[in-house]
Amino acid sequence: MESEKKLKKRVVITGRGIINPIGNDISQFHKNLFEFKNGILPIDKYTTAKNLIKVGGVIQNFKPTNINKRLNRKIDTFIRYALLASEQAIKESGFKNYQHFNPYRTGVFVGNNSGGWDISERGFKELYKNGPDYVNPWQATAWFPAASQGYITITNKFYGYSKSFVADRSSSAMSLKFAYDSIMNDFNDIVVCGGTEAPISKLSTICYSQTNELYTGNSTAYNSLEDSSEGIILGEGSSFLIIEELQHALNRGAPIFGEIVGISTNIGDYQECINDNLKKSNINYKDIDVFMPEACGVKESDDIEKQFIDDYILDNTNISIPKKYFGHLYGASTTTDIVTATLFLENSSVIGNYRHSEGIVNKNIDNILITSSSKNLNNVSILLKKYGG
Amino acid sequence: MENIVITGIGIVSPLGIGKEEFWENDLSGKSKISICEDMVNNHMSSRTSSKINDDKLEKYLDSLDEELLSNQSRFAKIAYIAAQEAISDSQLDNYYNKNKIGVIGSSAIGGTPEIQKTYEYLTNNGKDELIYKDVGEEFYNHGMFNYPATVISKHYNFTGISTSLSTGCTAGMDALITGLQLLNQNELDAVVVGSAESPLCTLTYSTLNAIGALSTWTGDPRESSRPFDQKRCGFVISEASAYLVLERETLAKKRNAKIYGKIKGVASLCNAEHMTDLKNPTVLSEVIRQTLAKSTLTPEQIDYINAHGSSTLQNDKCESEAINSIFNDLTALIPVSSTKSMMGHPLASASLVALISTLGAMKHSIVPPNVNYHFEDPDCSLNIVQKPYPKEINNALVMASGFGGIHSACIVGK
Repeated sequence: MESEKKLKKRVVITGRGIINPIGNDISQFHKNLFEFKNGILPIDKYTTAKNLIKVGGVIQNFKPTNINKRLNRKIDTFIRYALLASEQAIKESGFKNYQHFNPYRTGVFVGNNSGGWDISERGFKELYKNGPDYVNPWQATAWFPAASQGYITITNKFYGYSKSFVADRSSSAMSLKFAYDSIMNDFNDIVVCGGTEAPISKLSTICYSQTNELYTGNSTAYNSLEDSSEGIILGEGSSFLIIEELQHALNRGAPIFGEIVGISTNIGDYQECINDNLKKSNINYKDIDVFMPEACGVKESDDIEKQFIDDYILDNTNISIPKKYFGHLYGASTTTDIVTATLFLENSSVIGNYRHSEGIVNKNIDNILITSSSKNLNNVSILLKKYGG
Repeated sequence: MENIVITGIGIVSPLGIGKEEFWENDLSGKSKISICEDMVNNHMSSRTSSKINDDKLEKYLDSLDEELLSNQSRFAKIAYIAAQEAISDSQLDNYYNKNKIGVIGSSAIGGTPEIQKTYEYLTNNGKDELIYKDVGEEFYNHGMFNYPATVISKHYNFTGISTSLSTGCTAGMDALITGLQLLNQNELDAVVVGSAESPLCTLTYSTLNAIGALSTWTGDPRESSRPFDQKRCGFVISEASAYLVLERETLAKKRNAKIYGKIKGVASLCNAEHMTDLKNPTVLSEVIRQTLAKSTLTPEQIDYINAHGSSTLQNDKCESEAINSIFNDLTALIPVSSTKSMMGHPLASASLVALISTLGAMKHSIVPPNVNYHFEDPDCSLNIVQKPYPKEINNALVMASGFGGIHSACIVGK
C-alpha cells in the first residue's frame, strides 16, 4: 500500500531563478533569449594572451547586493551565483509564506562540477607568495562543491534532506534526479534544486582546457551540434528551481510552471537512457514538442546526438539549444535548460535553433524532452510536461 | 520498503588495506597517527596526520591496470582499490544484469594534492605568472570528484547510474543513503557506494589550520586524536577510501551472497547554523530520532554507537548532548567510540570507515575502542570505550557530521 501511495506522488516546478550571461533574473533572461542576445564574449576578467580559452559566457552586471558584506567576503563566486539564483526561485515560489511551511521537509540539492576556483587560486597564491600562515580561513569552507548547499540552508534556515552532486556536465541533472527522488521517497515536500558554476578564472580555464574539448578560438559563435563546431564554449552562472510535491503545491495555491514526469539515467547508451525515460513516462516520440539535447559541441558527443535526432526525433519536434547563446554552464547546464523549458511552456513559444526550426516558433507545447550527457557518458533524460491538472 | 543488505566490503586506510587487516588493527586499538613532516617544516601549530602505508599501497598499485589509473590522483587510485575489493568480495558482477548495477562515489576535496602539484608546475612554485601549459587531461580528472565512480563503472561495465556526492565529511554516508533509495525504488538491483579522500597536502593543512580545526597536541603523536577526552584539541587529518556493495535482501539471499549487515534506518538533515561551528544539538538529535524511527527499533535495542567523534571541542560536546537527548539514561550503558581516535579524520570517507568498523565489531562481537580517552569531560557524558571488549552487537548507530552543517546517520544491524 505504501509503495502504491508513493507512486501516486507527482512533482511540479513552482519557482525559478537565474544568474546567466544573458540575464540575471528570469524576465531579463527571457527577454534576451527571445531577442537572441549573445552572452558569449571575449574574457576580460584577466589577460587571456597566454591561455588557450579566449571567449566564454561571462556574467555581466552582477551585483551581489542581497548578500551581506561579511558573507560576501567569505564566499567564492560560484556560491554568490547560487545564493542569488536560489533566492529568486524561493521568492517566485512563495513557499516561505505558507502557513504550513515545514523547514525540516525543505531540502537543497545542488549540482556543481568544480567548486571554488577563484578562492583556490587565491589560496595557492597566498601559500606560495607568503607561506601557510597567510592562507585565508575561508578557503576551507568556500572551495568545496557542497559549499553552496551549506550557505543556502544557513541563509534560509532549511533543515531538510539536502545533497550536492558532481557529474561533470550532468551535475545539475543529477541533483534534479535525486531532488525528485527525495520527494517521491517522502524525505522532502519541497526542494530548492539547481546548479552553479564559476569556471571563468585563469586556473580553472587552464584545467578545463586540458580535456581538449574546449573551443580555443576568438569567435563568439557557439556552433554546437553543427559540423563546424570546434568544441565547448565555457560559460558561468547558476539556475535554480523550486520543485514541490503536487498536492503540497496545490494546497498552498502555488504557481506551477511544469511537471517533471520522468527522469532516467545511465552510463553509456544515450538512446537507451531516453527510451527508458519515455517508457516510464508513457510518452511516444511523436508526443515530444520540443527536444533540448546536450549539444555540447564535442564531435563524439554531437555525433551520437545527431544520429539520435536523425533516427528518432520527428519533424513536428522543435530542437532548441539555448546554450548557444551563453555557453556551456557545466554543473549548472541542465537546470538552466529546464528553466528555459518552463518559459517555453509558459509562453507557448520556443526558440528553435537546429535543423529546420530556426527562430521563434509559436505553438502549443505539452512535452519537452531534455537530455544531459557528460564527458564520460553519464546520461540523464528528463521529461517536462505542461501541468494540466 | 525492502530490506537492504551489505554484501561486499572494501577499504584502504591507515588502519589497513583490506577489511581483515583493518578490523584487526581497529579492534585492537592501534593508533596509526604520526608526525607530518610537511606540517613541521612549515611550522604549523598542528604537526600530525594519518597516512596509508605507502609500501603496502605501492604493491596494490603495481597490480592495477596501467592504462586505467596511471598519473591519476591518489584519491582515484585508492577508490579503485577499495571498490575492487568490495565488488570481488560480493561476487555480484556476474549475477545481475549490468544495467541494474550502479556506482555512487563521493569525496570532499578530490585530488587537491595533485592540483597543488600541478599549480607548482604551472607557476614554477608560485614564482611565475599562471599561464597555460599542457599538463594532460589528468589535471581535469584531479578536480572531477566523479572520476573514480566513472572509472569503476566503465571497468566493470556497470551501466546503471554513475554519479558522486560532494557533501564534505558526511559524503560517504550520503552515498550510502543515495544508493539505498535507488534500490528501494527498484532502479537498481545492486549498487556500489563509497568514498575516497586523500587530502594530505600543504594547502589542505594551511586552510584547516587557519580555522583552528586541526589538532594542536604536542605530546606523543599517537595521542593527538582524542575524541571526547577533555584535553582534545582538534582533529587529525587523514586519508582513506571505503566502498560497500548494497543489494536487496531478497535478491542477495537468492544468490546466497555473504551478508555483513542490514541497513535498518537512515536519516540526514542540515543544521542551517554555521558552515563549521556546531553549537546547537537540536538537528543532530532529530537525525538520530528519525534514524531510530525508520529502523523501528527502540533506543534499548542499540548496542553500540560509532560516533562522528572528530576530537574537536565543539563537535564532541554537541554530539554528546544529542546522544544524551535521545538515549537519556541508556546513554550510560551504550558503548560509544570513534574510529578517528586511531586513524584521524579522512573527511568524506570517515562515515563509511566508521560503518565498516561497526560491521567488524558486529562480526567479531568486539566493541572497538576510543583510544586516548584519559581525561573525562563533563561536557561529553558518554560511555566511552577505553579498551576493546567482547559484546554481542545486534544493532549499532553510526553518525556523521560535516562542513556545510550536514548530519547523517544510519543504523546497521545483523
